[in-house]
Amino acid sequence: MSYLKIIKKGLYTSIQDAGRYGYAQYGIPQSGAMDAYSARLANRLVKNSEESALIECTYIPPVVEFYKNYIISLTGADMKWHIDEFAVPRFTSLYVRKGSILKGSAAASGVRAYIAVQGEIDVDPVLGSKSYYSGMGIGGFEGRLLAEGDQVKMKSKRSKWAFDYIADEERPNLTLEKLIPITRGPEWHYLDQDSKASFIAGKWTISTQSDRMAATLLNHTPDLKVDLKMSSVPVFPGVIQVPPQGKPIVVLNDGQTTGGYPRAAIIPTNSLSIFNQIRPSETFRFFFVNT
Amino acid sequence: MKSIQLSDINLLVDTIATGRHRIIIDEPIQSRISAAVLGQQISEQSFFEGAVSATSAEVLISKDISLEDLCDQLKKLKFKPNRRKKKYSLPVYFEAGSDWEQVEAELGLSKQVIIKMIKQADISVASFGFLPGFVYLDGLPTEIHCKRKSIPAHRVPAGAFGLGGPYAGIYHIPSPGGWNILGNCPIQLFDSDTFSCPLKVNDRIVIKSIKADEYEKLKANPVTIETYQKK
Repeated sequence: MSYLKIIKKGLYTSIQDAGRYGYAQYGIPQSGAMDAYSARLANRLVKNSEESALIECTYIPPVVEFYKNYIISLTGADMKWHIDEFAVPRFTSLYVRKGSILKGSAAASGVRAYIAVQGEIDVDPVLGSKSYYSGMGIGGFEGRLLAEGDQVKMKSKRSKWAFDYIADEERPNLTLEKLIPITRGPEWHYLDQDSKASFIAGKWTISTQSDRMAATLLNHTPDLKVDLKMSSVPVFPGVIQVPPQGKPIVVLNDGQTTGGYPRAAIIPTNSLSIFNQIRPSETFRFFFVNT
Repeated sequence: MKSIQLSDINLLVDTIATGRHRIIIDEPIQSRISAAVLGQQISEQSFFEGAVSATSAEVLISKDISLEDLCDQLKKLKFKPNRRKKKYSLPVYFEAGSDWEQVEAELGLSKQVIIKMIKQADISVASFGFLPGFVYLDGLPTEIHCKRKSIPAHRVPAGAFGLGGPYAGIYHIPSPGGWNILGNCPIQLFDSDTFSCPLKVNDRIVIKSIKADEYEKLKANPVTIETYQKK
């Protein structure tokens, strides 16, 4: 049989693919890999389609034992990966032998890492996606996170081993101070002048309360002030809402599909990958781009 | 924003992010049309299938097309603001409500009176969303509009029927909740495989008060909304 076994579960390890689309009308979020860019690279390295399901690790990686020879790849956060006692690089394809054990340590840079395995993770898609979504307990491995002892079955293709790697300039740089592009949201004008200025000039951090649903942003300047009276409107990953207490909330992959707070700004979809690798200890800035 | 005329209403359309367009109804008060009604009818066009989400204030189209193409497609829509509505009755077991005391105190009305007003109200489906499978109902008389909780309850069970502001709502999944829970609706509103829902925005709803034995039966063997209508 072809499977991987989870020896240790890590902090928050789940199966994700490119996402579950088409159900926002009924409040179901898109889910999917938080760093979609790194997930695509991981799939490309093992010659899977870019939307394929893989394993998303969060800050503390799992320990995984391989029960067959596989071609795998590791992308995203730097988890100081080892296969057995050997340190292995990220962003290349790797050949692992049956009985090998993959382990790492807490992310040295970034937050989320991806383990892709050539072939197909054999779990049932729910509403068109294998992505785990905690709010409904759907997708992923039996509707939950990966846990110790789980055997993740693989539908293996005939292995096509051809060494591949991602060029330096294509790899996300997770160690530089991050500059996150934003565009004006429909309710940008709900912010008062000082708040607009501090939004742009401010150094921001992400609260430790943040998760796959939303990230709360903290600033060293006073809280933002907003005009509040507005009705509930649709939101999507990347929308930055400003609630009355003044701490902006970024809607993320597992987030709500409607919200009642002003949508001050929007992080473009292709910049969410780098945003979702920001650690709570890091500061970052926003800058405006044109849509 | 671009402006398009559709039957008797004027729509304002713009792009708020790559592949994300919003539609609002110009002068919604005069036209008295909820964007959710518009969103429902747009979502029934095969071109827009799965690309629409809407609240009573705004429609969002998530599709990688240009604003011009979007407007061209919208112009093809035969929008019927007063499309014939279906009528459904929904069972609610009011003894399963956990917030009766606060609501009776806030409204200054007794439980019996509130239940009677809910049963007699001209309720319709206002919109969906916020949480997976959440259904907003409007049409409650102003006497029973009540404030949402300032601190949401840690966990509200699936099927919970609650009041919040001008709306009544039904929770599809267990979740934290800020609404005042007055009962439980033990039938299946969504198809578990496809997550489709027979209810459409604007459909009429009659709330039926059920007794403990019927509630237990439905809880043990939930039926779909369509099967329930045949009873």
